[in-house]
Amino acid sequence: MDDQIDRREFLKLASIGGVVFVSTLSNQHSAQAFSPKKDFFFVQLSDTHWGFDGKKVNPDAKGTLPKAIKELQGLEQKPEFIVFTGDLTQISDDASVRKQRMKEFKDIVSELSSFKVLFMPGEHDASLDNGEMYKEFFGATHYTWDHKGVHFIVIDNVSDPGGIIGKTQLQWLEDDLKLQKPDANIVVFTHRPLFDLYPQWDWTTKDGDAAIKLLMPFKNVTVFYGHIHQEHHHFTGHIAHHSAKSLMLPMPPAGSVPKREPILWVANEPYKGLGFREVKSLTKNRTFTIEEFGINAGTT
Amino acid sequence: MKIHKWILALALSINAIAVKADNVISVTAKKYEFIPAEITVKAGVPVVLQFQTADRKHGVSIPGLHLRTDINPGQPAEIRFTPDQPGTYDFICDVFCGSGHEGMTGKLIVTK
Ligand SMILES: [Cu+2]
Ligand SMILES: [Fe+2]
Repeated sequence: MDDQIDRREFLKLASIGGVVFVSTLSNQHSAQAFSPKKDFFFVQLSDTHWGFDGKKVNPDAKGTLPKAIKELQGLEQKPEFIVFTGDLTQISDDASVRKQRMKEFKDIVSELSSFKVLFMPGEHDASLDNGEMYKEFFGATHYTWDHKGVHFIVIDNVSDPGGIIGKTQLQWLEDDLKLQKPDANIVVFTHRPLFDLYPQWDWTTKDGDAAIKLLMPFKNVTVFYGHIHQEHHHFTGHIAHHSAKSLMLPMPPAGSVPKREPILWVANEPYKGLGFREVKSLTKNRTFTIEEFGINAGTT
Repeated sequence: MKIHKWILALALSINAIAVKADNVISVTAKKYEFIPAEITVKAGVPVVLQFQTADRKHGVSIPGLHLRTDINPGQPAEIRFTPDQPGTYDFICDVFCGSGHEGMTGKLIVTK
């Protein structure tokens, strides 16, 4: 009990719908009790943009991802999986550079080999060759799996350079959802927002509404995505959409500045706006707790 | 021969007048810019934005007006519309085209 109160002093809690947001004021990881049989947690990392070069934006471009990986290796409780929601690498017009970046990224994340690690592409990884090179390194760009009562679906909205899911994949999604009960617990991972967050900055998926329509009949649907390089929480009907921070370059809120450009590094607040998140799945009451973590500058 | 040339010149100038009446604005898309990147049109006057690409496939989207088209090599693409509300509308390339894609943007200014 006392411990609970202590925790509250460290954590800011906010609740919307079935999701509890926890933003840590310290870098301590909370130890919320849950029943390990049914409940679990996973980690979402996003937009690592390996190969990005811009000292004014991130002078530690080569160190940020390794620092996050170190943090994950040091976790007392092991996440049941770690998911990277796209833009693993920074685009290059030179295919051999792209290949090199994918290779390096894969080597770095091999440090996480004691975890189950899942990937999906972002437009930087897949949009120049319809995902061909990505697939050579990381496998399928859309897939599903089930874990402790949750049905996970990865949707690819980047391999088509038009930023769409496409008819074939939408049919695949429809067929997959036919096998689910109306009260199934469904989690979608994807790179771009499925809804029109801010199309002026390409923060949308042109046929995302078709996917949302297919998901709408299900009572418990949560979407985790990346692409916009910041936390954002939105509902389309009862479906929650949560975007994650980047591990390379933070972006400003939609439309807050005239041009879509990364936020510059602040020397006395290093790694500000960068980070990753833990998501706890409390399956029985069908809630998710999102806890955001920054990058600890001291990690070496 | 002379007459023929004269007719041709007349035909060309009529054509030019017709184009002007139609208010066609030609825009070139190339890695990684639109030329011109700023287009000014008048509210209430029908306009044709004619896009061609100088290199690969691009797209143009004006989200604030719900208008878009692909721009394929060798196939000029058109957006015909009559601007209604004065204001500034961002447009972007919405077909991923390479390392500078995210900076390939422009502004459509609708004046009164
Ligand atoms: Cu992206
Ligand atoms: Fe990104």
